[in-house]
Amino acid sequence: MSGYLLERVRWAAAAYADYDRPTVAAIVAAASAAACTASERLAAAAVAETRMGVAADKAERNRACALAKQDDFVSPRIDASRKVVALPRPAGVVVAHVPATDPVAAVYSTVLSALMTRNAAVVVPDPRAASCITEAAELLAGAAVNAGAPDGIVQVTEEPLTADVEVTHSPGNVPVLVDATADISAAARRIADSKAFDNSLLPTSESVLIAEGAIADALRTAIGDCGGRLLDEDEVRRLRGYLFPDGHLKAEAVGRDAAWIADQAGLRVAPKTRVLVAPLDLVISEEPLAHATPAPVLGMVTAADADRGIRAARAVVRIGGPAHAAVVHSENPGVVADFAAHLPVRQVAVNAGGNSLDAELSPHQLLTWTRIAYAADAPMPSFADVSPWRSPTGPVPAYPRASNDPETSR
Amino acid sequence: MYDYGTFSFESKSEVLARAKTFWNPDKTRFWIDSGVDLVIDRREGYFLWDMSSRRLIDMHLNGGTYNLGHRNPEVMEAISQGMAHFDIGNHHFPSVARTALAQRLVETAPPSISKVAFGSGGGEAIDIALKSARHATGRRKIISIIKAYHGHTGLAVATGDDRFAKLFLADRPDEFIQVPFGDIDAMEHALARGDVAAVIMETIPATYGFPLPPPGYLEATKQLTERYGALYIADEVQTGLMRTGEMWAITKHGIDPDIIVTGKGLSGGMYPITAVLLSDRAARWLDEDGFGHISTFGGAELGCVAGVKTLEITTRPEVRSMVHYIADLFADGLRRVQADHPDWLVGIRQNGVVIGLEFDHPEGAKFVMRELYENGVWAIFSTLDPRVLQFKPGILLGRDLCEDVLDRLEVAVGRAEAAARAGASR
Repeated sequence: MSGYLLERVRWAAAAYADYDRPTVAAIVAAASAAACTASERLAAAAVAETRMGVAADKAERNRACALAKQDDFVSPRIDASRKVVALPRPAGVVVAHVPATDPVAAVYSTVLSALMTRNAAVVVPDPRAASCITEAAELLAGAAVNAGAPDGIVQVTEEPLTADVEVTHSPGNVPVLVDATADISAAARRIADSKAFDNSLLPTSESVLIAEGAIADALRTAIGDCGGRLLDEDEVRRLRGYLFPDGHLKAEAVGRDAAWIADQAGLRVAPKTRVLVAPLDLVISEEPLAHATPAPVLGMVTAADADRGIRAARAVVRIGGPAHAAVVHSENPGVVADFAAHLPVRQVAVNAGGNSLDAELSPHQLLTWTRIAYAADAPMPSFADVSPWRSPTGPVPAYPRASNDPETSR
Repeated sequence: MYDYGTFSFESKSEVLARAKTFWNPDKTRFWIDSGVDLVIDRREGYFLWDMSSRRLIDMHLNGGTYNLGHRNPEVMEAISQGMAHFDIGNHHFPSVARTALAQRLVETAPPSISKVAFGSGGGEAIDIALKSARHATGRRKIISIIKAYHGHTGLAVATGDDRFAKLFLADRPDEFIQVPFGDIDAMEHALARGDVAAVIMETIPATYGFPLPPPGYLEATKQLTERYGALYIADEVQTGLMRTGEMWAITKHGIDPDIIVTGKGLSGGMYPITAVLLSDRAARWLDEDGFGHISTFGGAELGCVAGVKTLEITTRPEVRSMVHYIADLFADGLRRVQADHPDWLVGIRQNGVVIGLEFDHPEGAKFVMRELYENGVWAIFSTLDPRVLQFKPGILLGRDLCEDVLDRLEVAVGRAEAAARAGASR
């Protein structure tokens, strides 16, 4: 039973689909401002509720995801030379399954993307973070409606439902390749920072580090200088035993910091340790540390050369299922191009941390374009001042006053 | 062959013939003569199917009985589960189902309301309301409006139009006073002698074609009842249950009535049950003699089960929001239709999804009804003012079906105008 949530949100989506650019911009700005203001408070609330991650990192990420996106996904796009006008059309209702690992930022990002593109959003919270997710979604909903968005444009429900677009924020298996040409110390610092950020809860956080053999030792040392702790064979065995007691990741370890995990696994590490680096022989599916681990634990393999490194990176994505992103550290554009060409991912970061990537959906995924095309030999009139969209002047829907009510300004 | 399990018919014409023989010859003939040869067969959501398999969109809803659509799946499930435990029950005893529905009704009502009495039909509920008012005040007189319609039982029918009261010699002009709707001076004149038990009024008189109360009229009437010691009875049978975008239309006027009467949609169109919501003053007889009104079927427990589920659905915030969307879309669409036919569709009377469409012809709504029927929509004229079409969208409609109905209405209004102007009146 949907309880008519979906029916109501369809009414809202249909109304919003006709809004014009200035009103959409005002709605997005209002929601964005509300999101910004609550970034720190909701970050702390998320950590308190889930006991995962780092409040300061979450606050930073919340602020980044809350930033007002002023891209125009409303106005018709005119290509006079090709005589084509393209009208953006929202998909309708976006259902976002929001994980406990990255709750508030995921709400911010999805809801703002939906609002930018004139879609309605239904947020389905992970029960472990239901209250901070609900609070974030209702905050944005209220701000949007106060700025003129239709009633019910953002909804929260714990019931499973499907609609026009489904957004899941599942962790991806992200390989990071460091080749022989890379700036080793910079690469080590970025990898350690990214892996430690929010205790590795971001879906774009690196899973497996692949080092070209020639620089592997130097890289290990450099990561050690950045708070990484290289484990020996016995320590890897103990870590694996703790993290994956029955082959599955122990839930209590998700989003915990490196020192806490080391302690639980019976490893002695320095208190300032930020990342546990586990050397692996091979990237194979039965090796749990070769999969995405939402904790500051990084598998590491070496490859004899860049080509073999790229094949190892492909293996990381292959065994991990659909991936969001991959990272390469290299000064050789040929390697970068080969890496990007051979990895089935949407984004490749170069000489950057995985946490710098935008894991969230792109607004483009929430739109279709209706193309108005004129015949090649016919003139196309100017569409410069033409827009089919209209925004209402009052609340949507209007409150149902009696038609003979003098207040009815119709 | 039409097999309905416990009975069957060979054809629709056989049904019509036997309906004349065994049931109601005049009514059967009336509809055939009106060009509406409808025998409802299957029904689901906001659709009806004639025995000929023709589909109709239901914009009549029997005055809101099918607010939630026909055979609403959630209501059906509640009743099916209820049947594993309940039947009508024993009306003499306290009952789990009646108590649960009574409590929920009080919780939805304005603060003046504290008790609930149950009936099985709208007329019975009105009778209970009038009896409660007489008991509370020790007075006999009841004021209603001219062209009022509150049902056909003993007291209810006396409040209404002569057509139904005189037919059965049930008119009682000495006790049942009628005043023109909207005339506050006439109301005061009728109340001023201080011998009136109650004013009973539909918040928007349905059978009279949904004339909207002039701004301030109901509020002033309520004040007069207070001044002269009478009770205010809000008949919300057609206007309640979220049809105006609020649970009870009377609250949109800021009025805390002494009594609210509800029925029709109260049980999702699946089980006959009605209720009278009473203030402390109106409910006194329930302390004095609880057997004062007895009704074997009133508050039947299966009806209460259906009522509890219906109220739960109706009061969801999502549903309230949808009603506002539906009302808004029809407000725009109807204005568009009116702009094309300003001299024909002369009035739009709308409060939420309570809508009356007034046409410039003494029987204008009958023409429109006929054309709508031809175009796959069932909506009915107002019995006591056939210039006005009752146009009653459901409260769970989706936007697509609303737009579909407006498209059909636009065509039907134009064709009806041509037919009426051509003097094709029957």
